[in-house]
Amino acid sequence: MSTDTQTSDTQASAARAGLGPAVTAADREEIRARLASAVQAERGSPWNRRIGPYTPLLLLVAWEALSRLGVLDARFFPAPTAIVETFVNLLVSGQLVTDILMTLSRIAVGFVLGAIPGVLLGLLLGSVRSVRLLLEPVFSSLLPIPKVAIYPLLLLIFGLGETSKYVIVAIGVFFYLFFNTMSGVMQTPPLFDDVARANGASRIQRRLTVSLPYALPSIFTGIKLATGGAFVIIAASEFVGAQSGLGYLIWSSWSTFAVSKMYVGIVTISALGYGATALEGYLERRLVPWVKY
Amino acid sequence: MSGISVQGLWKAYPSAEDRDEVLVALEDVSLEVGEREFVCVLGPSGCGKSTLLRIAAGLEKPSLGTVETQSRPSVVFQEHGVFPWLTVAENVAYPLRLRRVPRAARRERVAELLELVGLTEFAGYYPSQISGGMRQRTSVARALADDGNVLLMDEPFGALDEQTRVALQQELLRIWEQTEKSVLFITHSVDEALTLADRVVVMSHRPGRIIAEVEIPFGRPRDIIELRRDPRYGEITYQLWNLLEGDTAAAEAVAQ
Repeated sequence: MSTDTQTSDTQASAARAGLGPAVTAADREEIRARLASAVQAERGSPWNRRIGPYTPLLLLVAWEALSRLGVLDARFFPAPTAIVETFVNLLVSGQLVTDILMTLSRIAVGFVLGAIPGVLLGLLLGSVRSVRLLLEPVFSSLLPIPKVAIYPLLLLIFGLGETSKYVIVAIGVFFYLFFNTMSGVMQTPPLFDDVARANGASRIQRRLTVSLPYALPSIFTGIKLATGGAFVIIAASEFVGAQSGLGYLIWSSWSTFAVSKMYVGIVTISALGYGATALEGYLERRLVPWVKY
Repeated sequence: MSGISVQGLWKAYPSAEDRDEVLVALEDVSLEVGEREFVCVLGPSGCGKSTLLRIAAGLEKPSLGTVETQSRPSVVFQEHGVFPWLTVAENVAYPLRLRRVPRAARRERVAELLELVGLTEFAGYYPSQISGGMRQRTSVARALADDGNVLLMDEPFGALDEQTRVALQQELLRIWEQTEKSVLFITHSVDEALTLADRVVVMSHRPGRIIAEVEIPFGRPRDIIELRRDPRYGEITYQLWNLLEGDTAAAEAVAQ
């Protein structure tokens, strides 16, 4: 709508400028400038575009100032520079690296353990109606149980070691992948299945060459959701059942009132989650090139 | 043995309204497609002609009667039958991949087929990046990848614009004349049927029955445009339209 107005505006001014019989170079120049500004207006103000990426930095600057001036209680909101100092100390001592590696390895192992059965069962239930009717209620009734709520049980079964962490992440990831794969498979247009059958594809070949690729975009949505879920689950599990990892770092800082350490843990988790999502976005563009973004 | 042999075929579906009733889609259909023969099935929409093809393709079971084909048929579907997640070359290679043809042989065969349908330059494109006409060429090439000699086509050019359609029809004839395939081609277009076929099988409104078979006298190879000047073209067009119209009138009389 605004584009139309811009265009007619330009035309009107072109008419006023006496365009038509004698178009001077100056007129053309003016029109070009108007067009350029119209295009620019559509893209958003240059000021916003330039500032946008740095607003988090502005927030940090404001935080720093308010914390130093004593407006913010530095016990709860230590100045960002203080947090950076703690960050560097933790990094140099090697503790932060150890915690990051522990958390990441728990997520990675748990992710694989949960995602593979999630996708396979999603394919099966999505494509075989009788199995879906039989088993979907089971998974639907397990879905709403908060995964963290069964952690004490897992601790009893698997003990305080790594296995209990792998299992709880796997359980959380499983549900995301299972439901997203299943719904992706169920939306496969029958024509594609006909094409595969007409070409003599076996049942398994049909699942692998039609249902799986058709569901891939939806599977990636599941992977991204599962990544967020996995960080929540692992942080909560490390609060209570671990002596290492970023969740443990945050929790132990609470008990010793080391607030800036707590922030280091929080920011590190945020950065890891961001990195994981970026990696998944890259994989998605490589593996699902037929979908236009 | 003939390419395709349909004997006393009936197909019925459960009625949506009445559990005890059935909806008859095909009524006692028998037809033969000889070796290297090109047969078009012409009929109004909803007459069950696509059902006939799906049964011949083995996608649905006959309620009664039998369908035999000389080899496992290859099928060219209506539009949107190419996989959006595979490139043009990968789509064409699909049947070969299912049969685990070694990579080198596969690549060679696909290159030949792409050359045949004029898509060599577009081998690496995804279906969303090419035109509807190119997508159907891809579909045709995929159907030709198998060496079977039965080809089933379900209104493959129905969604294309007139000029692209004529161009693809001409190409299809050229390709078919180079192969040894028996073709069963489903269409609702009178022009398309008599342009392509050796014989046109006319079907009635639902329940689909065969109401006539019309031999097309034009020789081979055919030039689709030149064909339009042949006085017999008008005659046959008129004859086919009369068959379809007569059936429509009869169907309306029954309805009243």
